[in-house]
Amino acid sequence: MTPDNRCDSSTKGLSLAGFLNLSEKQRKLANWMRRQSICKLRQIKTEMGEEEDQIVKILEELVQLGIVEIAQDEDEPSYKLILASRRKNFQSQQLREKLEKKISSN
Amino acid sequence: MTKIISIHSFRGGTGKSNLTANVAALLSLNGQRVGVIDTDIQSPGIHVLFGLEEGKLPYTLNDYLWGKCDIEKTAYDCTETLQKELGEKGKIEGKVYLIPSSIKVNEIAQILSEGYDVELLNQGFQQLNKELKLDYLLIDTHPGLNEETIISIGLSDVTVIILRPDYQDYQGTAVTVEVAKELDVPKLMLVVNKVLPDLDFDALKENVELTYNASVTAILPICNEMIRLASQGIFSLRYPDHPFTKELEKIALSLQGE
Repeated sequence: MTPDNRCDSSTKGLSLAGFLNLSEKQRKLANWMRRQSICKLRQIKTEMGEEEDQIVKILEELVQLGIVEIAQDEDEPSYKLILASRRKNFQSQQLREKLEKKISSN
Repeated sequence: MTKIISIHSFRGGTGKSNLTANVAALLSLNGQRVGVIDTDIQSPGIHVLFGLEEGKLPYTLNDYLWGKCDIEKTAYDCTETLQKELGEKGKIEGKVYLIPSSIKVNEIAQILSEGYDVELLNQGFQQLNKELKLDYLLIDTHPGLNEETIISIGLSDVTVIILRPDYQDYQGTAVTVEVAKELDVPKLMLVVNKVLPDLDFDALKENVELTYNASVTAILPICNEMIRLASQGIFSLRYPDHPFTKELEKIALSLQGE
């Protein structure tokens, strides 16, 4: 894991910067998962053409990065890629506060 | 199944919104159901081309992202306006819906300061495609790269990158093309806009294609009538027989052929 990939609760989900820092295999999987809603392990296996333990390893890495969530669906786990929220921009917050002050004073 | 097309440029003023609106109009003229979503939340503008005014927009994309309404409520049927623009020159067989971003200064500032759930935007795209039975969803974007890029390019079937023959554009386009390739977009199209008519178009096309290893769909010359129109309408409907419109038609046909 590179420092740029570390996610805390405020940076959960796949961001553009996070995506560009993924390894080639992580990126390949993330690209495919982004276009699916929820995926089963066997679907991922078919798509990636890799051994199951290798895929599970990549998925675990993506879960650790906060990019993928696991949902236990019946016997088989499902995986969902999540996108990062657009972060708060504190400069914009200041701008907004100034605007609101100006509007209320008029 | 809806085809998602995102229209990008690295820098502002390339003619992205004009291209998006014209392509939407031409696709609808060909009988297609088209949605146009303005994801340029910090500097929205495409609503002007469709003749939508601030007071006539009870809901915008911002309201959806704040959870105040369903995405369908933010879609405005612009087909009638476009038909009026076209007049007796033809009949729009399809539909065009516009999903505008708010143009109220406090709402722009609010969404920039508070952020929003990008996943919600993703869900909104899918919902629009389903509810409006769209053949095409065109995503008009903010210039440059940002957090929306991951869904606008990342979810699209075709990404159109528009650039001018300008060295700042050339460099920025290289970045956008690189990101589009990393995001594995199925089809990448380049459009060179605002080209001086005395330039060698064939040489320019060859050069751009070689530089970016992507196909150039059209080279659009600077067009005086387009400048005079000043975004107060859809050029291709007002001037259906103009050579510039013929170039725009090539882009629409190329998208339909994909």
